[in-house]
Amino acid sequence: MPLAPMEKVLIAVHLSEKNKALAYLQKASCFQFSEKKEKDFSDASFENHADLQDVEKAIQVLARISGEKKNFIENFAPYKESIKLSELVELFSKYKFDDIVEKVLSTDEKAKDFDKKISDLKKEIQKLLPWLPLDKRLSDLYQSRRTKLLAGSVPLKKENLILEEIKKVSSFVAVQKINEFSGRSYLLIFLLNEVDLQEEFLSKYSFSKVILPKIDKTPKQEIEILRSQIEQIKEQKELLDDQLLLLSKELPNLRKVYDFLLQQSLLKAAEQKGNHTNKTIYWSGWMPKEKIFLIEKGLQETAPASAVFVVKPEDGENPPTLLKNPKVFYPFELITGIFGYPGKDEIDPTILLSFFYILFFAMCLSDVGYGVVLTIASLFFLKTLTLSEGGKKLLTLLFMGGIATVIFGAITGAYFGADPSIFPLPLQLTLSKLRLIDPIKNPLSVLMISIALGFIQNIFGVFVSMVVKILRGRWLEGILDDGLWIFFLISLALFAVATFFFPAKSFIFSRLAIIGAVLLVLTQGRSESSIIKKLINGLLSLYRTTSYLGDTLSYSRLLALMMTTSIIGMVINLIAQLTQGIPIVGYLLMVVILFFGHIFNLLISVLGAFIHSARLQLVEFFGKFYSGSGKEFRPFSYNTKYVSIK
Amino acid sequence: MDWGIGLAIAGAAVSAFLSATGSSMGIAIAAEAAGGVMTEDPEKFGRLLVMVALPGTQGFYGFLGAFYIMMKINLLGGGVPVSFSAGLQLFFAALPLAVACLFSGYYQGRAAVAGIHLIAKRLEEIGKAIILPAMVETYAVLGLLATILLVSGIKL
Repeated sequence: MPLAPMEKVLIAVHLSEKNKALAYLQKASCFQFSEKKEKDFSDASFENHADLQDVEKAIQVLARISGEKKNFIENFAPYKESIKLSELVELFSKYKFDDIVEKVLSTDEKAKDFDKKISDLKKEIQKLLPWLPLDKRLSDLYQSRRTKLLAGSVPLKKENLILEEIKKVSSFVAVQKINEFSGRSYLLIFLLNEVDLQEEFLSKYSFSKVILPKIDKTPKQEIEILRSQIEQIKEQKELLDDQLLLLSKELPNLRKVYDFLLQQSLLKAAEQKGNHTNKTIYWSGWMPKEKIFLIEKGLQETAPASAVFVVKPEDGENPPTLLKNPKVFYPFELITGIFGYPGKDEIDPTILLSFFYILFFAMCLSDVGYGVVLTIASLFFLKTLTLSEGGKKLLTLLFMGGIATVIFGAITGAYFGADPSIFPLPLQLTLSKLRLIDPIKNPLSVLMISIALGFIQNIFGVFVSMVVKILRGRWLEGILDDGLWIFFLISLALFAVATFFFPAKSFIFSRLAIIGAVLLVLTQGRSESSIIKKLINGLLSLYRTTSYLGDTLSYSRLLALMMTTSIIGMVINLIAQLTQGIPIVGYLLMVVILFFGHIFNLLISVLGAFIHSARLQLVEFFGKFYSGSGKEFRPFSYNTKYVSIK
Repeated sequence: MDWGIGLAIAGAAVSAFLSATGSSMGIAIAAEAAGGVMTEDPEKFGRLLVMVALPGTQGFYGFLGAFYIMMKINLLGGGVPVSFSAGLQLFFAALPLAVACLFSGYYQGRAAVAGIHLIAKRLEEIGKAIILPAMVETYAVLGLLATILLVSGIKL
């Protein structure tokens, strides 16, 4: 539960050895630069390094052209090849990545130009398409000296109207209808030069003008020419695509180069976080106490002209938090991390929540079959995928949750949504004995268990708060604020239970509860100045009972989630059974429904179990004693996108 | 005409379709936001999918409620006689689930959109982004619980 102790350190290195020292620190991943400087140099600004951007663009172009497909799992945990730093350095020194990036980008640029040309030509075709029936060279339309041409379209409904109205404007008007095309009528209107049609007149009939090009060809010929041009450009573009496709075999190397450049820029950023003297550069930051000796030694080996000093933090400067838990509890740090890391006066709640979390997770899922599948699947992914720290924690958590689910599933007697009766007789008898509760037939008893667990965790939370206060020397606060509440809440709960089961004895607990309430009224307002305010505040404090009640009832979700899993499982089995009557494909269909149905149910149930068990910790449990005011320790280390550096 | 069984079926139906409507609205707005984020950053698909799926549970709760009522009246096994008043009781018992899921599905979708915006900028905060919409779901769960307890308490 205690946090790993942190020290503020100052690392000083002779300027000639700064690069070696930084490279070592990055590899060791035990040092976090102190915050003040870090804000001035956010990592983001260094990722904008020109080389990096170009390489990234080239990678994107090649990845698109090569049509790399990720499988479903990789969307969640992208595969990262693991590689030694020395290999990266070697690759970087030999590999002419500049030329390749340059070639990829210029080829892509050309391909984009072609795309633009094609789309321009297509627009041209679209414009001419309605005029297809016009069997005249377009330049001929403009030949007459005394007339001018107005080409355009009107909606079909307005065609007759405009024809009539035009005749009213001038009697020397010739109108030729060329085509009807997608709801519009395409017209050529020839007018004497002296006659003018006003814009308002045209817009009244929704006439939209088209300027036909003065070319020596009929629309049909022109369209054919345009189409053949498109074909030609497409062929040229395909050549470019082929070139790019050939280049896409460079993808793995380019990705390595990208990650190498990224590390270089991180190193450069780190260097700028340092302060200079004439001959040395020094960085201040945080390091776990137990690592200092090791790092100092390692640093001296790589860069002999260096030193590590432990210094005193400035006022108001808080060290970052590094959680330190035994291996079994390590995955639960994920849940703590969602809420926030403990500040320097807080305890690490990871171990405290772990038992409840895994129990609640198992209750929500509560099916032996699903537990087995989850255990095997998470183990499989743990072994085969390259995972981030968070991914590892998540999968280990799911693995543990799977095992707990098997146990709890046996208690509720659920096997892929079916009950023990699906098994052959001897096994069936044993499994039936293991089955202690049936949530579907007896939801009330599960509800009671859920709420009782909620009550226990709530009281435990208040208890933790009390212990922390006492350990910090604030024993009066601990006993009066938390201790009294524990006493009051427990006697209230016992009173409620006793009224149901031993009504004769319930008066004992009611009196205890009243004593608790009176003590709370007397003590909770103690910080106020006047007697009246003390009393009023004391009375008002009893309202907190409702918030405890609400927090406890919140655990009823365990029943709801348990039932969701088991009933949807049952429904899948039921639907699968219905297919038995279908000849020939019936059994095949049944297997398909069972397989995909249960996978689906497993996925949504695991999501629900994960989220809601976490929520109960973060909201109901943490609310009693934990504020998560600390910041995570994020040491200077490798930060890669495509490969992982060993 | 057998009003009892009709009302019971109406309760099951209302519970299923209102919840499904709520979920589809919620998922739709979340999916729109996720689509927007993916125009910039298609790599986030997997993480965004989780966010989009969050408002989907209401539909299942509704379906579950419908199924629970169907089991109660043994509809799939031929049916038991249901009196008018029992049918009416079952219908009303379905309402907490149906209405709570309709609205919470939609609003959880909106909360998920906010989470999606959070993921768009800060992928490492996905845990927080998932937990916030789950706050909304609490009340769908309570609706489901109310319905289950009501239905299990009704005597046919």
